[in-house]
Amino acid sequence: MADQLLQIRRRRSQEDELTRRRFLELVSASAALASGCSPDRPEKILPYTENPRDVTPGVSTYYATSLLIDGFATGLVATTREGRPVKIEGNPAHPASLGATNVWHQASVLELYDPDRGRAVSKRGLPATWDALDAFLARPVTGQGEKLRLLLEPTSSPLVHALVSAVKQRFPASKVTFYAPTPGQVPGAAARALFGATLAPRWDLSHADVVVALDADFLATPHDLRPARDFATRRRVRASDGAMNRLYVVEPSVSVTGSLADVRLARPARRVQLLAAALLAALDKRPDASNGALTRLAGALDDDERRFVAALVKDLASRAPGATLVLAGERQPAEVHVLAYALNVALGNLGATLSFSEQAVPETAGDQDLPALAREMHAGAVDALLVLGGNPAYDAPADLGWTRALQAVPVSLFAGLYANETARAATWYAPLAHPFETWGDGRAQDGTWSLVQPLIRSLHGARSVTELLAIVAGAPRTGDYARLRSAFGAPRGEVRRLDESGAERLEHTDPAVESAWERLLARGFDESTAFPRQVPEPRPAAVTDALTRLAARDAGSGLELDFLRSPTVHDGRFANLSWLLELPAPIVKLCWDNAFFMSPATAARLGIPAVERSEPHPVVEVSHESRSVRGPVVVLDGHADDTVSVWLGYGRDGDERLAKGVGFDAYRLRTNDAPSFASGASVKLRPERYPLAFTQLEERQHERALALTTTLAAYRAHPDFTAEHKRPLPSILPEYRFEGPAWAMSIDLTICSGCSACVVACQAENNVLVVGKEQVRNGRVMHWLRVDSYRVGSAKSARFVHQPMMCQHCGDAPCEYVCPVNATVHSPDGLNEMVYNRCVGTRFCSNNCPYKVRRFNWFDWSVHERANQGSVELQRNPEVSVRERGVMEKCTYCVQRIRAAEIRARIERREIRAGEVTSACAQACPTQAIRFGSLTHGATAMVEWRAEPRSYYALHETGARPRTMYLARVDNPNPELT
Amino acid sequence: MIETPVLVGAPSDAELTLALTRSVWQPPRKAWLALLGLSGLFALGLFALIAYTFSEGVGLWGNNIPVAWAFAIINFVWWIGIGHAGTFISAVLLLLEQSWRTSINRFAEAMTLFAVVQAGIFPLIHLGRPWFAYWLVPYPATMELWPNFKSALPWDAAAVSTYFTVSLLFWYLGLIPDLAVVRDAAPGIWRRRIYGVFALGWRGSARHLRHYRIAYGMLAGLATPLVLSVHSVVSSDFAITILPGWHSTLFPPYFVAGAIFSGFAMVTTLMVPIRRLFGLEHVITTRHLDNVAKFTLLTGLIVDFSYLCEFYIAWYSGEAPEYYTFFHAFITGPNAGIFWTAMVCNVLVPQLYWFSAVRRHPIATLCVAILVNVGMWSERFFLIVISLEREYSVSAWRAYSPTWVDWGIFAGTLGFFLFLFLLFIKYVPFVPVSEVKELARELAEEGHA
Repeated sequence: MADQLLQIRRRRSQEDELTRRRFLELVSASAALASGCSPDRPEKILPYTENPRDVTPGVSTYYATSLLIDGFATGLVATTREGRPVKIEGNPAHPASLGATNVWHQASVLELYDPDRGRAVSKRGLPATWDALDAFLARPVTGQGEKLRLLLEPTSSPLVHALVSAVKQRFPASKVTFYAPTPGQVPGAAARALFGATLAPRWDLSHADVVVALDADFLATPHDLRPARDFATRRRVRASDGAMNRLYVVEPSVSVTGSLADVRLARPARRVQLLAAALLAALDKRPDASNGALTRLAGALDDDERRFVAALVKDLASRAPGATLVLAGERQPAEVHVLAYALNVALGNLGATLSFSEQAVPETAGDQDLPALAREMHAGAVDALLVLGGNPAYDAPADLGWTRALQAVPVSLFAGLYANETARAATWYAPLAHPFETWGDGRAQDGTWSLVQPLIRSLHGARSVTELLAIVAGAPRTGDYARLRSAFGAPRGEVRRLDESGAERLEHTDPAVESAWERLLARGFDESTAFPRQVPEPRPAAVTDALTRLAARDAGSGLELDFLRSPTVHDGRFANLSWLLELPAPIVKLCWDNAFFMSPATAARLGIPAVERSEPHPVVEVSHESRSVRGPVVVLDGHADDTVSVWLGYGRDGDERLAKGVGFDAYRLRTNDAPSFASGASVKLRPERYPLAFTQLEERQHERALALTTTLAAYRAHPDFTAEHKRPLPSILPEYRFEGPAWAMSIDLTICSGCSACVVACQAENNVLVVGKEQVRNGRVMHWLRVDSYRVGSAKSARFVHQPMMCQHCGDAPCEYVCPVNATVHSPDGLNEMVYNRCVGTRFCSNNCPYKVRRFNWFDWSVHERANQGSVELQRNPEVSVRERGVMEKCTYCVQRIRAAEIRARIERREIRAGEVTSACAQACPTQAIRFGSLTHGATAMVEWRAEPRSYYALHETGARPRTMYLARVDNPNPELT
Repeated sequence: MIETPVLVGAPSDAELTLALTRSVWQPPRKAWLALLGLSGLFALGLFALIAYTFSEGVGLWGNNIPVAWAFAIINFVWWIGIGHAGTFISAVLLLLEQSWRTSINRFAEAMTLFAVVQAGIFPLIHLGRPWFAYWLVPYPATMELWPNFKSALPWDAAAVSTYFTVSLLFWYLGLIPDLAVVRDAAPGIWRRRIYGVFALGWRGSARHLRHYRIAYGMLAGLATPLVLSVHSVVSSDFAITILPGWHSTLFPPYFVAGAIFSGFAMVTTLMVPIRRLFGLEHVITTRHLDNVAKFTLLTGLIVDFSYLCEFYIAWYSGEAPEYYTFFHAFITGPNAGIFWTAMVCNVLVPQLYWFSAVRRHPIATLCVAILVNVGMWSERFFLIVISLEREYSVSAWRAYSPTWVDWGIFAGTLGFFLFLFLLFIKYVPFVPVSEVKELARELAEEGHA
């Protein structure tokens, strides 16, 4: 019996493999699709003897699309090669992208090709057909749907919301729940209380001279890259007499935002409300603002906090009205947001740096929340549960008893990209299509309607959430494209007409609407759909209410436990993507695991032995409310005392093979009433040790001229402090004159947030393979670009300077003269080139590289590491060779892009234009800290930056004469707090 | 004080022939067979591990970024260094007409040859793509691609292959008269024929002897600069870089002294057991032990002085990375234990050689010699590995630790070396018979005069 099962499974897996033939079919079908038609046209397989329109083999095609994270859309541009998406860039015109991307956008193309994606419908673990599932979905329950429940992820998609309404029309008694494990936006309840409407804040960081971030990691907003760009604009100090903003951060762990802070106060998240109250007490001068609750809250501050508040208040008060901004993070309760809004009102920021608009992901869309749904399930009030996306069996609060609740539901469906933990518990599993395989839509943070366009036909014949919803709603099965097209045409007076053969075809009559639609497709979004900004009138009573509630509530004591969204795998949804698993988390530089983070003082108090990062780490058992989880401890400078923070999203146990066994599941500690942070946790040291993989083991610079830092005051006093690090070097050789463009890079450390989008972008562009945890521990990570993070300031209030470090393309390259076979040589345009075919692998070049940016193929990684195998190979950039075993590799300044531009320029008989070529890292950077271009193009930022006083060459004294120039990190500390 | 003679007694030619070639046709001893079997096993292990490395990649070793060079290069430098004493004894001392060298020069030369064989393995298997190793050699390629002559590695390839060739010729040329002795004395026609082939028709005529002397002297003249040049070139692998701890103009003399130091220690390590096992105390006398120990002490002092210079310059330069490498990384870094081993074994232990009782006591001098071998290996380790572990880019700092494959390959070369050496002492007269006879006559004439 077991043998038979095994055989069946093996045969299935063979059938499921994406064969070459199947791939070619898909590619040619996708190519047909490329001419802007719908996937519902009659299907033909076209051989390449006659090229489809717009597809030339060897030439990239670009499509505007969007990706929804936390339900919000970010506009992207996808590069496809012969119908195969290979690279994602930001859509420069899209308000949530501005041309930039983050690690998740970059890795989304890997997710598309993930071999572990669900491939077939199954029922109770056995193969089933779409037809059978359709039959079930067409009639999931009888009657008005009293016992039908839907669980979806929060989304901004008007299409999804329209279909949910259609389902509710057919089953008026059914209920819909939207649930995500980590909050994607600040609670609308705060605006509801203060302004009487559920609104989302719209921050304008480009006009804020002082930014106060209360547990707000706004520089790492997963779905919106505008805050980071705006902040950087105000941050970048140009000449030494220039101005820059000042950033105050209060936070429990060390976030990307906190690492850039000028003044950083590490405090448990529960104390943020006290600080907010104290700020309000000092700044809000209206008589009714100061009440007993306020003084009681503000009186609970300790000495450090009081000093911080006093200095901050003085700073804020000295600024012009409307020139500051107080932000509270989405992890904080609504009351803290009320205080933060009130602070902004008091500072005159309302209408200046802070305005409001409608929520793009409406919080009020659901009928009930997850606990209510779980209660109904426990009570047997649910006959059919449709879970469309997400992974509640894994990430629901531990006290809801989700798995037991599901057992009480007779029939359930889970539709998802992977057959994850939830799929295992559900009756039906349906594979969902990847966003790059379907039509869809969404709204950006500011409401901009953005289209999701398919880039390839569904690899596994999977379907979208909307298609499934349409069946439940009993809507005509016209397909997502037709639905979108109708939604676009209907308000423009277009009538849709079904054709006579069936109900599948739509005709749109108005050519003006059709051309508007095509423009929309080409652009990817419609900027006229952004929600108007509102400046609502605050109701002061709400502040008093919030204060009273906060004062009455037990803030908690003892050890605080902070649940944080992982900076790499988010809430666990990206846990099977090897690029993200191997991405060194910003600041900590930990990959392939999560850990419990705590401050050195707290670790010492708990008796946790100090270890080097390379050694196996002590393991603790953290308990909270009778639940406990074991995991390794990482001691982190700058972490708040009396606080343990942990990344969610690890310890997965679904069908995702890479994610399985990576880290531990911290959701098991998380309860419904304290989803973001909880007090009263206990920590017990375990005897065992656990090895962790860090890519950086040392956080100090040891007096090396690597990442230079200074303060604004010191910069003003000594603008030439980097002069020694760029002075002319004596040489007995005449200077070499390079011909043509001279490619170079300028990197501003002041605005680099360490987010690491560049690392993944480089990986996607240059076919950088992953090596696995063991090999990372062995020091063999292959990233061509790494982000070094060095500590600034004392261990207690540590901040970090981030230095993207890749090949510096030295003029007198130390690697070149030691290579015995001339495998690394200089090109006429000044690039340090690596000739893979000539390399014999002596590794002499790496030994002599002062920047240690060379990477060696110790094994044939494409064979040695399973994460590089299977359909992910389809993502590889055809312009870049996959390096063989035994050769050295390194950053090429994206030479393939340079050469492509050269060829283009030669065909068009012109010079390469300024800004025509950019590297993958520079293109992805949310703050535009990395600039790439030619030194001969004088008017570009890249060249202008180099003339700023604070520019310098890293390790200038080695005489390598690098092409990459850094701009020193300038901080703007409050003189009263130094 | 009467010096111990370099030859005890006044044996006749026949007695010397018998004493020095007896081992060649005696049936192999059990101890020899056992050692040969064991070392052969290690040699097989070496080849198996090389095959494993070739099939999987050098990732099987502990090397990483930043420590891209480790065991293979340490072993290469160590083995090459060991070879130097052999050349020094046979060539330099020949030219200086040091009569005491005669008894030990043959096996010191063999030691050189076999050590260079071990050393030569490493640069080859260390390559990421060893099948392209010939690209390091200047040959007329159709693409007109030449090696990069600015890199020290093609120099290395030239230096080591020259060294091997000269050592082989020198050793073989010196062996010809003795092969003839064995041919003439061998029982059985087959042995005579085989040794006869290798003796190249040597009849011991005056004409033969005259040509032989000229050729031998010329080779000695060729080999002498190699004693200085080979390790100078090897040291350039490090000295031409910009890496703190490697970047030093002192390296060539420092490495040459270290090489001869370790080589003499290896001579002692081999000489003491052989002399005991084959009962050759009258040919390899206490005087030999004494002289070799004195050379060890002298070269050891040069090495110690080099350490002092290196540390002084690191302090005097005021360069933070340089200072850090010497005063933090070496002393307290991840592999500091190896640095201290080197210091104890190379600085303190050889000081025992100030006492003639230690120099002349076979067991005592053997112990010192073995410790010096350990010390010199440790020196290569800390110079190469610790410097890389703590180089310029702090974010890339990472410790190195070898894998079992690293250890296996190192042990394998020790076994392979011993295997070759055992074959040599069994089938070739390992003390130059004709030269000892010559020496006996010279001594006899001195006695008459």
